[in-house]
Amino acid sequence: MECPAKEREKAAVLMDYFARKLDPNSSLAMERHLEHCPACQEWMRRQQTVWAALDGWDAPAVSPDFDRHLYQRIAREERPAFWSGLFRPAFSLALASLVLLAALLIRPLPPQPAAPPQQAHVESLDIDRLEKALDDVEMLRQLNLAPSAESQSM
Amino acid sequence: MDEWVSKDMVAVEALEPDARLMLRVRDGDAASFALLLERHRAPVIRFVYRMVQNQAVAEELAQEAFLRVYRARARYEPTARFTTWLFRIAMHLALNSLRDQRYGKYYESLDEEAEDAASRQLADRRPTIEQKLLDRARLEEVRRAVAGLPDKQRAAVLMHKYEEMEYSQIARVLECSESAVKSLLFRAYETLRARLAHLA
Repeated sequence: MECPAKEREKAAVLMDYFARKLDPNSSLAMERHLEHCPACQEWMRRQQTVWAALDGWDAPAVSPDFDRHLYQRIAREERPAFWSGLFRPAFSLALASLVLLAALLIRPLPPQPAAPPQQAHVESLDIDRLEKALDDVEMLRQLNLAPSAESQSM
Repeated sequence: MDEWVSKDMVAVEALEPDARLMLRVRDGDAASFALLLERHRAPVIRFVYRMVQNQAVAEELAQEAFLRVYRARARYEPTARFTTWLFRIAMHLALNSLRDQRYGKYYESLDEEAEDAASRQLADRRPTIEQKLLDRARLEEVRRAVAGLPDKQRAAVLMHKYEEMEYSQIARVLECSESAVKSLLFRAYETLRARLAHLA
């Protein structure tokens, strides 16, 4: 067996032996090689140090609300945003129609002459009527007076 | 028609269990997603935690990884192992966050903790405290040694050592050849052996 510690391509055998991933035959061959190879023995010793050091590094426990936060994020994504509806054709058409209708309804009216105050108009009507009534009374009075004058002259 | 259906069913049965679950998620089965989460939550968080070395950030990134899996469910095709896909997403998220340097002050807080512990030790010289400090110092050295590895070497070591992945799967996660993975691991362990030799 060639020494795996001296060739990078074959070092995987050392790593696999160390991680106990070799098949039984390869494992046996490696054990025999190790008995007589100081370089591989040193590799194993130092790798054992690294492995033990890495073993001492535990990851913290998962937070109890990890799933809850994840499902909250999923729910937020699945709830359709208001603005996303703007880009749907039917919604866009309906919105455009609504805007057009609103524009027509609130369109400013053409300017009209200012109407005189209502009370003043009423007052002026009363005066006209009064004047007309007075004129009528005067005319009737003159008519009544005329025959009597005629009769007096006769 | 029946022949096609049976062929499809055979193909689905031949898939790994995670891929079958993911196909059910694709069809709208929320319970299958919950099962996938239950199976892979801890390994993904562990992996990302050791990549970024910050628990809160690791959980946020792991959530993002599962969220991306969920988002992509409609397009899912079982072309690779589910865990390969999941770890590839998680690794890219971890590497991006490290590159962003948003969480770069983590080591400082650890140093401050160590200083506090050292001052406490002066007042109380019980052996258990001393042992705890020694363990903490060793752990800190391991963490620094791993953090000092180049990105791909670090990811390869974490998947090889802690998740016990095969070279072929690590290669698919890292999107490189198996021989490249072996080379990455050889160089990474060589560096770690040099940096951690004094811990023997």
